[in-house]
Amino acid sequence: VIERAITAVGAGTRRRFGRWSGRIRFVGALARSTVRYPPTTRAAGVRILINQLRFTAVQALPFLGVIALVIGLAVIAQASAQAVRFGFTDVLGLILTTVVVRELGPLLTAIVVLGRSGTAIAAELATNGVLRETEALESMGVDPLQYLVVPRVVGAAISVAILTIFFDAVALGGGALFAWWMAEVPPAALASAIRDALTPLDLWLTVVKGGIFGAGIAVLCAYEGLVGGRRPTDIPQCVTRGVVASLLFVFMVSMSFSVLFWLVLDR
Amino acid sequence: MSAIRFTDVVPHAPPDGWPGPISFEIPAGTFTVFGVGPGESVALVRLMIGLRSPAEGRVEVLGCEPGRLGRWDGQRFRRRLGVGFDEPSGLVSNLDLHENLVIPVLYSGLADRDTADRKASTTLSAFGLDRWARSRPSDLPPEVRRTAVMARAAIRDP
Repeated sequence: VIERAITAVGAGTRRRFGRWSGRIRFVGALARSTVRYPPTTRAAGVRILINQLRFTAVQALPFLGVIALVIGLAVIAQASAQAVRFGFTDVLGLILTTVVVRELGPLLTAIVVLGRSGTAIAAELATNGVLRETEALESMGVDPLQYLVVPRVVGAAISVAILTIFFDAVALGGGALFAWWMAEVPPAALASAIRDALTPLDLWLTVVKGGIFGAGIAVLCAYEGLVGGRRPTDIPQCVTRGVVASLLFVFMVSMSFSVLFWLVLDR
Repeated sequence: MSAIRFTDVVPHAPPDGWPGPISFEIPAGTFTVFGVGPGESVALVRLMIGLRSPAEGRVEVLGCEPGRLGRWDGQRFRRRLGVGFDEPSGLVSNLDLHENLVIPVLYSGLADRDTADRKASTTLSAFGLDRWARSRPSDLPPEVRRTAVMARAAIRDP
């Protein structure tokens, strides 16, 4: 029994290690495909990119807007109540900036994009595999990474970066209105406090973080879709693996950024 | 000169019905029909175009061993060939027939968009598929889909 248990643990570890090393090799192959992207395909690539931006960014705006508003209200409601009680309304802006702009904005945007677009990428590419479309492309000498993956990764990266800014704006705006209405904190005072707390570095890092999240989600979901789609029953498993890997990636990167801020920039 | 030569070839995970090590030779300029099942034909095609390397034996096509070519050399090699599958056809399902023919020309870096469009239109006409040019693969009758696969295989003058 002990031997079987140890063997099972070893086999599981090896399988997971193999999967992550496959993902890392995939990133390398994708980088080479991007560098060698044929100039004649720009128009076709741009069309896929526009479709990706429309689906990932534009169509996500209403849903993400609602989430941002709810989060903004929740954060400001909690923070305002404590601020009024303990008399630290002057740091409300700092709290909003730290919690919403640096942490929740990119994180929740990435999770929404993963739920809408990451799953779609994994399912679509797995379906391509089942319908033998990927193999047909390969048989014609067309690089599936250039045709299927590069535009989706670029589109997802741009989308999450843009959506993160949108999320932050709606959450801060909604939070400011709520603070004015409930805690009687004047919007001008809160806006000034947010302006003081928010540095250009915050904004740039938010955009960069969003871009990394978007690219990571698209790469991981595309990988699972491309390697896993053999039979129709494989498709849901590809999606599940893509989502789990992406969630792990997003949380790890988010934590790394927080530690970086704390250790290197002392903020 | 032989265009294709198989010497004692066994694929990895051979499909049911694979007869064991196989050897044959197809001279250039000849037309050959294999009487094999769908699983075996796909395995044969994958070996011929280098999408799989053989577990045993040697596959030579047009003077090289496709399974031993690297990623980019393999792609360049496959651009010289025309390959089509039966169902599922491998036509890209979210593109219409015209776009399906444009993609291999564009992504091979062989021509610009206008030239690829012209070539796709000419090929569709040659195969009698003009009226289906703006239809997606799922809207095509099976026999038209098969013809479309051949048109796509022929578009780069393999």
